[in-house]
Amino acid sequence: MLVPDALPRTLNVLVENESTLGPVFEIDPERFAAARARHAGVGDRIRVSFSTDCDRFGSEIGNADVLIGWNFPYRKLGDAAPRLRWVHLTGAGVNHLAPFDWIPPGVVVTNNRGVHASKAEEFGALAALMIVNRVPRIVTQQWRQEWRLLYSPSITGMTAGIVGVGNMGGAVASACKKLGMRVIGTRRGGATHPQVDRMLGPGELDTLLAESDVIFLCTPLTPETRGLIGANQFARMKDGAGLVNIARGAVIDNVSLCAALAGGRLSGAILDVFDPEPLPADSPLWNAPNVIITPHCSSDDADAYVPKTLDLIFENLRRLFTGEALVAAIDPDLGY
Amino acid sequence: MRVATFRAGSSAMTSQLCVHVENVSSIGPLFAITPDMMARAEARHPGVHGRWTATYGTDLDGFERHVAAADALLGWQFPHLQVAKLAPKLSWIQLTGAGVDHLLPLDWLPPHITLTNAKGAHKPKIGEALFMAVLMINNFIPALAHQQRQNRWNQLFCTGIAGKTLLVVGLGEAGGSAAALAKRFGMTLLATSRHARTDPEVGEVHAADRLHALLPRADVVLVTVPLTPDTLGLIGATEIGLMKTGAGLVNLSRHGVVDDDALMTALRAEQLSGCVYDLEDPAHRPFDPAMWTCPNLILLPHSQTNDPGKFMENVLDVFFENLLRRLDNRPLSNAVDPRLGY
Repeated sequence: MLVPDALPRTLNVLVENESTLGPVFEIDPERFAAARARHAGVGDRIRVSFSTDCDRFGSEIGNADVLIGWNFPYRKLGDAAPRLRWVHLTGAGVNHLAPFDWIPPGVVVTNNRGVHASKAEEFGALAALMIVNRVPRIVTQQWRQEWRLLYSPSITGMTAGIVGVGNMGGAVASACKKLGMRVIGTRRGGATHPQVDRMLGPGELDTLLAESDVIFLCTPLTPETRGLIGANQFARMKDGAGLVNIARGAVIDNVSLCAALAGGRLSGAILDVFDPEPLPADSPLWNAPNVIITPHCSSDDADAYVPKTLDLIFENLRRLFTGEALVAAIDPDLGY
Repeated sequence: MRVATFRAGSSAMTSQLCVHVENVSSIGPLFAITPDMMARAEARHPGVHGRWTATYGTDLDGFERHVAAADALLGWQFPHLQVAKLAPKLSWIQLTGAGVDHLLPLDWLPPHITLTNAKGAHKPKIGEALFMAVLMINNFIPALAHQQRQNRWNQLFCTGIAGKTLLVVGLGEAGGSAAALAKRFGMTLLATSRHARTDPEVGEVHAADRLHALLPRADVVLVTVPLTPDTLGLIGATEIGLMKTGAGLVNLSRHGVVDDDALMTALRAEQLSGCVYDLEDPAHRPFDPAMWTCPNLILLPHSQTNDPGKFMENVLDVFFENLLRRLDNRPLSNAVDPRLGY
């Protein structure tokens, strides 16, 4: 039976790449073709066009049923894209497009949640081990050409506290369990998670901070989490605890962070995300003591990021054709 | 585990075995063995209760007097060249560390004295620290730390560690405990040891002379051989040249096993992606100051492989386990082969 909004036999997919993100994130025709071959039934029913830095965005968006991208003139989509049904954002933290009042009626927006998981797990293990082994301090010592013993106990039995147990937080929890740690976490609903020994609600952040040896920030950036970690929160952390941020830079108040690092009570920090990015060359964070900076490259696998992204996209294309609900849909009100 | 048969000459056991505990203040108070620690450790080994006595000294204060009456010596540094003369009753020396290079060559060791080391006492800490170093290599942490020093934002994306190959050069307790973690995170393992064998954890263990054939297969090379005349300069320009371009090196071996000049040349040329290098106090074992600032090189101050409180507990467990063996006239564990030097 033909219904008015029945899907056409073939969907037009527009892939919008942003060149400044670099080759790790580029969905080029070759990678797209490889994914299409992995998903034969669906791959036959799409027509794809590619645009870079919006060079063909204006001419293609009017025909697009599906838009895949990260940065584009989203405020105009309602008028410019009459056929649009679905927008897939090729990253996880989508705060750069908030608030989501621009989403045209009937359009579903999804993000890349889950794509980072395996790399985030590896980085979680690395960061937990580096905090416990006081590597941020060791690197600072090396800069000062100081040699001083910095002992620490085994990581076994220590506590990892994960603020925001979603896909990435869950992957970090899994890594910490593999290292023999106790894992506690917070998440909005407080629902249990197989890798988390004790789940707390978001109102119990202070408990998490007071009990954790290694604190991982894995929340999305929303009005509730902006500036979540400030002077009061640093004061609640244990002596010798360390902080890892793979969420968004603005979740931490930088002035308090620098004070906490200089105060020496914390073991150290490992920071992957900043506000703004790139971190300006004159930021005091670069040379703050006891901090290691990874320039937003902790959780994106150089080879696997795009193939995994495309697998998620093709799964959702299949669902679009069969009428199933799409996975990784964001809640426009929550902003993630 | 290598064992040595207790020598018959001194097996006429007295009812109590006399132990001298020799502490060295320069290695720090965390490693000092006190009567309290001995009592706590003894409580974990009830079989030795009432069967031993101990004297204690620090920095050789009273050493000659105490060691003259001792059946066993527990310590790290002592006038080893004179031990045979000073300690006529001595038949066992238990060292409080693993590497015995500071006592080499072992030609001072009379055949009636068994030397045992503290191999195994570093677990699980040592495996955690070494696996961390392997992860640091894969995630380009040495290069990122170098860029950080220059306030330079340059994203270095890596691929996942699962499926990559770790080569352990000198598979022992240290490499074995790192390998167990590496396996848990999906790495493929290769190792060299004195003899080829199949290890339940590692799989392929090749004879040490196969090193050159194995180096090209590894993404990360972990060097954990003891320093002996045979291993001095084991990893030089030739060996580094055989590694994959972009592979990384973790060195836990004593200074001298890796040729530092060859290493720094390879790091500066980005032939290797990074190195994590454990170094002892330069005040005692000087190294080239250029290593402080060499690109893509992170220096560890010889403390990450060691949790002093737990380590000394483990050392005393090795000691008391051996004490019981000794009292029961069984072979000691962790015996050092004087010919091999480890």
